[in-house]
Amino acid sequence: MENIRMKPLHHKLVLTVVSIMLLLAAVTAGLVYYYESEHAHVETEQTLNQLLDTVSLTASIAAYSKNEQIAQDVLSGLLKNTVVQRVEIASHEGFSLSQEKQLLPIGTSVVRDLISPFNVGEAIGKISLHASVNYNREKAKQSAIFSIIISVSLITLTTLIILWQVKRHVLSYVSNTLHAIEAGSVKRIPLLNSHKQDELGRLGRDINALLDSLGNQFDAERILRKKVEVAEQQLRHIYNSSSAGLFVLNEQGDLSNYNSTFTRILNNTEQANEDFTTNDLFKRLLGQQDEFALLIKQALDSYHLETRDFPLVEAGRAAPRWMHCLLSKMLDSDGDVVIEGVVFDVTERVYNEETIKREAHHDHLTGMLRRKPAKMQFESYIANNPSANVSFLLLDLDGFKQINDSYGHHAGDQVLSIVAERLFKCVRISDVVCRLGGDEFLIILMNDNDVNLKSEVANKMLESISQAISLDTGELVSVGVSIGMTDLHISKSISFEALIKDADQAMYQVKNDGKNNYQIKT
Amino acid sequence: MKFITLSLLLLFTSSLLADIVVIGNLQNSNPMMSARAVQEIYMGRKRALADGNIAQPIGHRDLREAFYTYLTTRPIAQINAYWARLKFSGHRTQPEILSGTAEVISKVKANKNVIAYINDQHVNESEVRILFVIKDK
Repeated sequence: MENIRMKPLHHKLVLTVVSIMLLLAAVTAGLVYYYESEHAHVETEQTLNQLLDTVSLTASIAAYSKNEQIAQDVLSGLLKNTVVQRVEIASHEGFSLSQEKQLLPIGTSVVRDLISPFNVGEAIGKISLHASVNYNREKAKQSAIFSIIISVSLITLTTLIILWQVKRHVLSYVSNTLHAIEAGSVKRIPLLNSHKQDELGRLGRDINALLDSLGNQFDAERILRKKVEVAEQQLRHIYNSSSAGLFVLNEQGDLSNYNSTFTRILNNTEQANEDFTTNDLFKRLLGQQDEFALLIKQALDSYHLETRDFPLVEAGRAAPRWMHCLLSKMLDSDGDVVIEGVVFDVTERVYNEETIKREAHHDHLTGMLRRKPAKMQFESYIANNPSANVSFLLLDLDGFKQINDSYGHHAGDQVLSIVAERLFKCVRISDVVCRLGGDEFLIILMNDNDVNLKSEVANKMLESISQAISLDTGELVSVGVSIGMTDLHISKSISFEALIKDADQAMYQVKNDGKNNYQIKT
Repeated sequence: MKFITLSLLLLFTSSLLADIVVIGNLQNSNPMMSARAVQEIYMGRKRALADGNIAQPIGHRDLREAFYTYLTTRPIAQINAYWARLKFSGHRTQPEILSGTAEVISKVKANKNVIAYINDQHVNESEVRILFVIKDK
């Protein structure tokens, strides 16, 4: 829980109470002042009368005897009293004297007749006493101030004691208890018995209710978070364990995210390499390829999924590995354009496909083309090269049937295999070597514009094939070959079948003429 | 000695019993005085007589208490205090007090403005003039 520097509540309370109190004290003081002002008038009058009582005899004597000296003494004596502001004394037949302190407005006055000391009831003069307005005011002010001081100090003292009690027993308790409570914990504020019915009790209950609902919220959140975590883990697991290499490129084509499979595919290992090398590897293997750059461009230009296979040519490895790559443009959560990519290692599939294709097109035993692909190659060639001459050499082995019969099929296969090897060595790489079936072969010499080439090749073949063949059983066998030949010019046809037929005729001629020779169709 | 004592006693008794009269010089032309006027002169409130002359009141030691008691209804102690107060102020003194009637009469006869009080038994109207009579109660 946060530790804020505390500004104790009771300080604020004291401040508030003192403010209100001062206001009330001011009002009270005003009332007291008003009342005292009124009351002081009466009091002052009383005081003045008492003063007059004190001096009346002397004053009467002075008035009777018209003795100014005594009168002056009386006046100055009276004036010494703080209440008295001005004094006048007059004898009816004599003097009229007055004394005063300062020129101040007169508040209360008392006038009294001076009675002759010797003749009862005979007024012989007048004496008057005046108190200043200020005296009354001063008195009222003093009363007001006194009342303020008394009430303020009493109330302050009481307030402080009460607040101290409240703070010590209640506020401190609630505050300290709350301070100690951790949100989401099971701790609650114990309710004080003495405060169950008042606001403090309600505060405690409300806080407990809040803590309850907070706790419930925390629980719900915790469960939810757990679910999200599990889901995230599953997603991450799927992401990382996916058999596909997943990666994200930014608009510049730099790698910004990828899963471990992606690294494994690029590295061609089962272990994920250090991260920092992945980007380098990516740049080296895929990033530098023009085809890949083109694919990125296509992906950025369209909203379609762009796919292509790439060979990864790595140092120290003869055959390239093949990557099947899918790119698509996406907007990420920030609205930036990114490219999401999927990479599969399709090396095996590519090579499998190649093998299948190869097996479909080639004779398994000899590695020669089959008839149909040979025909396709021929037709494709003459379509592209209409002016080129092409020669057909039809070969049939002599003495093969006897070997097959004497030594078995396995020996026959061996013979065919070796013959095939020898035939490949007799032709150019661009030429077609085809097994038509059994021990019958077709050699197609592309672009044969040399009139002597057919004969040279045929001679080479005759010589090569007639060499003894060592079987794996140790026996030596030998076969011969009868070759019938033709070309486009001779046959005046571009039909594959027709050309074979012409060559076949020439070959039968050789068979009939004693075998192991060649002949060009006439 | 016996005579003196007797005569004093007689005098005192007679003076107590007799009326007191205020007398003046024969040349004093003022009319009869009122009690108030006598009081004002003797208490120092007034100095002038009706004719404007300044009166010179004279006291009589033996009659003084009775005289003042009649005039002011105050005990003599208060009268003394009164005079003491006035005396302290330095302005007035109480009338001169003489100790014998003969002395008083001769003062009255000697000065036109002197007034005094004596027992009426001693009044010879060919010597002094009666200005006021205090009836004995």
